[in-house]
Amino acid sequence: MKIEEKKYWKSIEEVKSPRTFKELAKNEFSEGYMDTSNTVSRKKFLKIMGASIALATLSGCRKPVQKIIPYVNAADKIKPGIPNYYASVMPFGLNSFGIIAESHEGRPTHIHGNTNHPESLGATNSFVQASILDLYDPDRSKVIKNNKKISSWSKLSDFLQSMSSQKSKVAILSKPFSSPSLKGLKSKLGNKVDWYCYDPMNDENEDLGIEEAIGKKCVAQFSLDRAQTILSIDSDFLGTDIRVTRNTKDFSKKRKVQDKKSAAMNRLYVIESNFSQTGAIADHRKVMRQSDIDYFVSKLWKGFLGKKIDDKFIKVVLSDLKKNNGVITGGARLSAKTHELITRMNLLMRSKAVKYIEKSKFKNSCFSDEEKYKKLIKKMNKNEIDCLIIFDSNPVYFEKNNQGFAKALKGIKSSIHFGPYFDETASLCEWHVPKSHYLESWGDCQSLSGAVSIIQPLISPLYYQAYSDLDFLHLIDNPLKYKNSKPMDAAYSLIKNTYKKSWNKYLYNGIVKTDKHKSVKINYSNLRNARNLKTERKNIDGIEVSFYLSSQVYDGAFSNNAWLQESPDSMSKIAWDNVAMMSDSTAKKMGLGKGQLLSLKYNEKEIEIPAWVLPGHADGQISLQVGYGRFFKSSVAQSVGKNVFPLMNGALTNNSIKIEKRQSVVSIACTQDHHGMDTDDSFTNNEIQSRLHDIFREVTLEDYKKYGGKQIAKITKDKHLTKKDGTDKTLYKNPYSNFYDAKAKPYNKPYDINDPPQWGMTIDLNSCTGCNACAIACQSENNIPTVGKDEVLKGREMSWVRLDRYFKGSSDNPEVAFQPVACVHCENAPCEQVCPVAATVHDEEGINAMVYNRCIGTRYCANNCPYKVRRFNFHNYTYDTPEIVQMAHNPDVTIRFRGVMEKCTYCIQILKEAEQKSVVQKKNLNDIDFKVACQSSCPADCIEFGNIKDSESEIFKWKQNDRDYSLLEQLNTKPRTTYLAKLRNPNKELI
Amino acid sequence: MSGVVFFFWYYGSPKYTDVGYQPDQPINYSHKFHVGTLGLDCRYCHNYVEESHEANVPPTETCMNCHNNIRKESNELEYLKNTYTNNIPIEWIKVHMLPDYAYFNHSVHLNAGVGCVSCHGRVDQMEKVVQVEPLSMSWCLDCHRNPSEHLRPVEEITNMDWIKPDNHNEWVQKYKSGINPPESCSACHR
Repeated sequence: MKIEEKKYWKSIEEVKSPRTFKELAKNEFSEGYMDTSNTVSRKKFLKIMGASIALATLSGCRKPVQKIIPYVNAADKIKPGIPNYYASVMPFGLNSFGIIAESHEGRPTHIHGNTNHPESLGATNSFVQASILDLYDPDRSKVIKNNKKISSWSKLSDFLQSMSSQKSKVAILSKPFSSPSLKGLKSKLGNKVDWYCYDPMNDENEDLGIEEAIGKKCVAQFSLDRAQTILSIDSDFLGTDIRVTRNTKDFSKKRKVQDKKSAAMNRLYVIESNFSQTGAIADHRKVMRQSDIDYFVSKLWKGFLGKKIDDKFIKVVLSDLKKNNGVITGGARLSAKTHELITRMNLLMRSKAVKYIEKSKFKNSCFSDEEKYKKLIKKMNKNEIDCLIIFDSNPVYFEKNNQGFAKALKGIKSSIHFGPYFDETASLCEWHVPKSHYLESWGDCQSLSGAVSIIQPLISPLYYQAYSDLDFLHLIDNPLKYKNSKPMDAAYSLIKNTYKKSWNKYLYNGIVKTDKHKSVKINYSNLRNARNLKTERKNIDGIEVSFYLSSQVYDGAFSNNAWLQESPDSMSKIAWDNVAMMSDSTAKKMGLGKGQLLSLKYNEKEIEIPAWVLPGHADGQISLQVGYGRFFKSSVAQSVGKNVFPLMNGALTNNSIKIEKRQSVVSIACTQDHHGMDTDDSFTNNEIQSRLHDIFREVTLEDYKKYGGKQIAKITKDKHLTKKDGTDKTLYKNPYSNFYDAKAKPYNKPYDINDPPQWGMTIDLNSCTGCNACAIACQSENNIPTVGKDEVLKGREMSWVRLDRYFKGSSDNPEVAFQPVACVHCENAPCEQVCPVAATVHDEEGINAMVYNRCIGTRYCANNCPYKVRRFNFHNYTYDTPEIVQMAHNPDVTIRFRGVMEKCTYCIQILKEAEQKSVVQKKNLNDIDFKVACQSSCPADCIEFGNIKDSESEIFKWKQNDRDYSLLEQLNTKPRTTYLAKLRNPNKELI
Repeated sequence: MSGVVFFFWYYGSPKYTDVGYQPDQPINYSHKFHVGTLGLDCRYCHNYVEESHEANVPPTETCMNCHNNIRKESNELEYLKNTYTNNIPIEWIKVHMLPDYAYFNHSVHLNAGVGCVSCHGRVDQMEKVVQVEPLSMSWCLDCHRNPSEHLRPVEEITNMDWIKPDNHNEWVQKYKSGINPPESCSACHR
């Protein structure tokens, strides 16, 4: 047998102390799962009940009156009950994502990807999905303020007018952006104001390195679908990179395997210090401290030039890169020198997967410039600036150690803050102007791949004093002219004028044009001579502290977004917190327990942050996520996690932080052991692990090419289903065996067009990067509530899609497997058999339907569900949803009440809409174009959904793939959601 | 005991509680006059009913299409004109109410050949709209299980006094093959 038994595990406790883990795992539900005391006391409950019974009796006598309130004048293009779709674009730093926003009677409720847009290609990511919640954020700033008192646009205009008449020195500080109109206004303002641009998590080292190698200021742009071998050096291109959607699309294209004959895959090597999503999908991963990575690359360079090195890994990787269309990517934390070497190697390899484009080609972009930012602070301190305009940036929050921005800001004569929240910076500024959300403003963007798109508003500003960035810049440019302008006025006329040529076409397509940037001319002769090469290894005794972007809140831009805060981090599975990640041995050396507080101190700034062991983390290093610990008045962001910016010096790694242990321990909401499919106490720990092999299946590409899917299927068949004599081992006869041939898959039956469709789903585990986009898309489409940290600690998170993350192998450098699990819609569903009120039943289309209005909350179904995908409303989580947030709800889905069970319904509202459309439009159901929420959001295209009986459909083809398997097949539940086994593509020479 | 059971079984059912509901509307709009006497088609006002799941109540603008010219001086139209000129929406009282967890779709029913009259009764004879059918789940299912009685050619859906022709049964047998009204929970509840 070629497939050896490998052990999977979910948390460090499971491998290191199986006995304690067994104690934990014995309880299916975590501690407090059943506890209702702390939110509603019994006395209060009786009081409420008493009142509501009295009310119910009275109100029962009269019919409640509902009203229908139609428009006075019919709104253009709005048909009540039918959603409209508009193309727009979401700006994201230097990049932007093309979107199609769904709008119900004028309120946007859900976001889809735009297939026309090269940075979206029809998919989205978790930030795009969650941005809809930001629109309805009740904490958004609503009014213009002057010295914290309500003011007005015209008063601001007067102020700006007086500034310009006094010939005051005005400076603007912004974050990086890429927009033709903004850039146009910026150059128009050029002689009046100084413009500064700064991003604390910038990749200026990369720019410096590339400049050193090529001789020109350039930007590296990757097309990963052209690479067969990828070496990622601390670069999380599938995680927090600004081109994440495009990268994932390109990367996953090379991971699609149809059958064993044509099986081919790219190969990914990753060198990194903390576990990133990119590292998780790697075929080979090497862990080393941040400071060692630079040394590693210098060795790699030596080997690349053909010098003798004694590192086998480097030799193998280099020959693989050179032979098979290789490319090397580098992350923001690397030194400029390292980036220089990476660039040189990419160029010398003549890599097809990377283009170096001159920075001057990005005419519409404004890049971060740290040197200039430092000068700005100096100027502010010397009183050389009279008025600082902070343009949609938050430098007080992301102030690094000794940067001195806040102090300088306090000393300045006057300051204006323009941004979506009355945040940390706003509270120190004289003026504050609220910025409107991108779904309520006019504007334009150019993506990194060159696509120019128009930002089209879906709704007029919810807060009438919120102005768009273009409106605001117009006012600065000409305070007199725009004194009485309303939000969107100035921006609209500018955008309309710029794009009047084919206005409707541009808006409809969501794209104006795509500038194809050409690669810069390279002088190949000098590339082999890298100067000032340092090849010694830096010896650092203490512990390095390294900083990286959060995949939930990014750099803090999304920290007031409850959907993102509650979606667990892909690797650590922690929600509502940032922690000090470290390896097991480092934690042992320091004598730290799980969640034990650490004090990190650097130049008088001190924070206390809980320690957390992440398997596969480099020894001697602590990694911290930025973006947490916001300190402005807000209902979500405030006091979630710790702000780690004060610990940073210039670079993203700091070696001189004093670390001390504290005694207190804090509880961290980590979902890795929640809703486990492995928690039967009658199994020994070993048995659990061997069962897990059935849950997650994988083979190497080579074995798959040799043996095909037989080996994948055999794993269960041997152990659970078939006896040695070949007879079926299951105890129960399949109740549906008359309906379906129990041996054959149901979808092998011939399809009759008049039969109801049979819905099914397949998830390709080979390309899943565990990015959470599907989970957030589901949250948005299905009105799933968020519950907060306390409830997550009790295991009551409501997200229907659970992204299981398994480790495999040693805890020093384990392999990782991601598996999205939602309700698998068993044909022979255990939940249906135990529901006393038939609230969960099958329909004729094979959907395991959940009838909320029938559910009485016995939770028998959740107990009997072997996949643990049912979620229970322990409280009325939507009770206090502010009215404005209710606008984000999908009107086609019921809001569930306390005491009701819920779970994935295969987006039944979308299916029913498609079926009803086929009746209304007299079309065949096959010709109706629809996608369920998770499928449409997935940037890796790893979810396919459709009618499994229709042999023409894509899902039919997926189900025929010989890697197709069912979860817990031995239980004979016959799930409609199946999985395609993961393939790994390790290099033979390294095994 | 049986008395109590009977009491709730009868008086608690929508047949008793809901049928006959006839609230006062902000405007005494007469369907009897507009539809019955003048012969307006239902879809003049409820214009998206064949496309959308909602049978939309028309915007005030639709009323003003005619009443800009017709009976301009009437006292009864005072409220209409006032709200229109002041841009105030009219708050109509909903007569046919389904619970929020039941998702009914008008367009599918109309395109399958279920006439308005089957659920709403003879609206063309109503001075003030009244609920005539219980709209309970069992009432819905009665038709879903045996739709033949309520099917008609799609051209006749808004015809209030359409009478089944003698060959209705034959016609239905031919026509029905493409119509499979769902009977499972998920059809309406989500």
